[in-house]
Amino acid sequence: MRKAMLELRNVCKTFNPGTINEKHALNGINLTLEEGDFVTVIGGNGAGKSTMLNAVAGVWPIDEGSILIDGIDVTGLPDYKRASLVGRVFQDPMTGTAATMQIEENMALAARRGLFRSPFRAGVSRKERAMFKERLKILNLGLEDRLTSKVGLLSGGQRQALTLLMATMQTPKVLLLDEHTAALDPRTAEKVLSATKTVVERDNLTTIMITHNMKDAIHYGNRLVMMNEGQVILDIKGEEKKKLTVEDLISKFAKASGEEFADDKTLLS
Amino acid sequence: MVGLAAYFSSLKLSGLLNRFPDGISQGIIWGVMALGVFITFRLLNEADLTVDGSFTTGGAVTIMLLLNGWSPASAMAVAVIAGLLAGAVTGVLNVCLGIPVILSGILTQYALYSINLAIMGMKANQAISVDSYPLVLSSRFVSEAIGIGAVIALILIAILYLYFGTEQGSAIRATGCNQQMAKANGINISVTKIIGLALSNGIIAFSGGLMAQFQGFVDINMGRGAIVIGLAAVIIGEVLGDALFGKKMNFAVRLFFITMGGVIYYLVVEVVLWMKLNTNYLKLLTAVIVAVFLAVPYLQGKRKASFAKAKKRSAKELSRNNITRLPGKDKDMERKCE
Repeated sequence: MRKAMLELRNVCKTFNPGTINEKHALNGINLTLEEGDFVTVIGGNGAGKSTMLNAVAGVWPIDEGSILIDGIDVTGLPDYKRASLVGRVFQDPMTGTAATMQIEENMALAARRGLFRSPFRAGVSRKERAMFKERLKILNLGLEDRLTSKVGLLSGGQRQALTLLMATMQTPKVLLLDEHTAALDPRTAEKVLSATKTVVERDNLTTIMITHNMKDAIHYGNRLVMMNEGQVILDIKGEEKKKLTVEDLISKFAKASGEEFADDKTLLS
Repeated sequence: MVGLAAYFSSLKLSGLLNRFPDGISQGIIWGVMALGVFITFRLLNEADLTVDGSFTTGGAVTIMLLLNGWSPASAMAVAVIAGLLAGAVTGVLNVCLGIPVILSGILTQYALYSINLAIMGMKANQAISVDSYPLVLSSRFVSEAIGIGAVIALILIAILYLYFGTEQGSAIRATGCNQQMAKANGINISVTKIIGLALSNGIIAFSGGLMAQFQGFVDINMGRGAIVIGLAAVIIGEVLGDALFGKKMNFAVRLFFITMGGVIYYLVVEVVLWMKLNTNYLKLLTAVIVAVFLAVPYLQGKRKASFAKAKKRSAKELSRNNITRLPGKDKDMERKCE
């Protein structure tokens, strides 16, 4: 057995406790990712998919349970302290990059995750520039010739691709992708997804990818997890995952959640 | 008519030219202050009102230490430290206690009034003579003051340019641009915010120290409205730099123009004084100018997408198809809306 890279043990999170808006987003979820696992996550609206990613990223403290990354208990660490372990790409292309800063400045910020930021060292070094160019070439978007362009001038797809590079710049222990192609048009989404695959396979990254596209969920990764009401209700791996079809998935969801659903919209959205 | 003619004949061009050196030297000092305002207003994207207090603090510390026989350099170094602390207090109020920056700044500024009075030995003002003390610059020697002020401003611009290109400086800029991105990249935004606010007020206190020496006294009210003048300088400088350099304007040039914004502001003030307008209305005029310039980007955005224009386009299209039901003109619709 490979070593466990990410462990969620009985993680609970309730939003707005004690009010009429109380929401049990995570209900004692358990999930273990082994090194190199590429897990796609699907589930209906409010199933707790994004909440789970935010819990791993440390956006807020969880109410109960533990989160371990590469065997280290990170439950007590805020997001900026987990940043050296966790790479993130968000759903909104605006979120992952600093628009008023240059491409190389953004990448340099990402390259210094978890390091002390000195007031005396240059923000971008000459050595780094060459490395940034090499990395940008993988994307095949022509960004390698625009190192000093402001990120605000890039398209949503270009920004998402750049965020992906930034998130994986310092080979993270865990890569979190929160519907990172949902805001893009299908062709751009395809490009970003293939770049994702390239990077994940190159660095053997342990990855969680939320998607609302069942075909993508089946096509990418070696494992598929379905969530409902803040828990994992289905976990499909290995050979079973390879043979999976969209029809299988819909019938499995109905069985696992004990719910009938009229159309696949609940699952997709 | 006769009165108007007499008024114009009383305005002598030489009088205006004689006023310019004073305007330029004061403008440079306020331009230095504007660099501090720029850090919070543009780089951190926050409106920090600590300014009005920390400017006076800088003046008070400098003058009192000079009066006690300190050298100008060490007196101003302590003034900068006092400003750094004032900014850090605003930062801590915001970051650790969750008070919005704008309110934190008002609280610090309010508290500084008492502190400044205490520094000044419980007096509302303290004078210092250039004849008996080694001041860095003085309004008595205006052309010298311009030279010294310009050198100081250029050095400061160079330092800021280099600093905001460093790892820490970049982290501060990222915090102001996109907090989520900053956190995701391992930046402790609490720390960067406090550093930014401290740095900003350190520079402001420094310029307050220069100003107090220039005018030969420190007054408890010398910082009143400083934030507005600082904003005016930032905005004037940016508009001017944008007009002359456009997209080629890099960070150093931008800082230079912000300092120039202070100079231009004070030249305008000198023109107003020369025209014998009641100086009481100067603050009103400044506020109007700043409001107009702050509104310009918003109005430009609105011009591109306004409901009024959408209504016109829609009405045109509908009238072509003989549909003329508009809210307010259609009784049925009005009833429904109620």
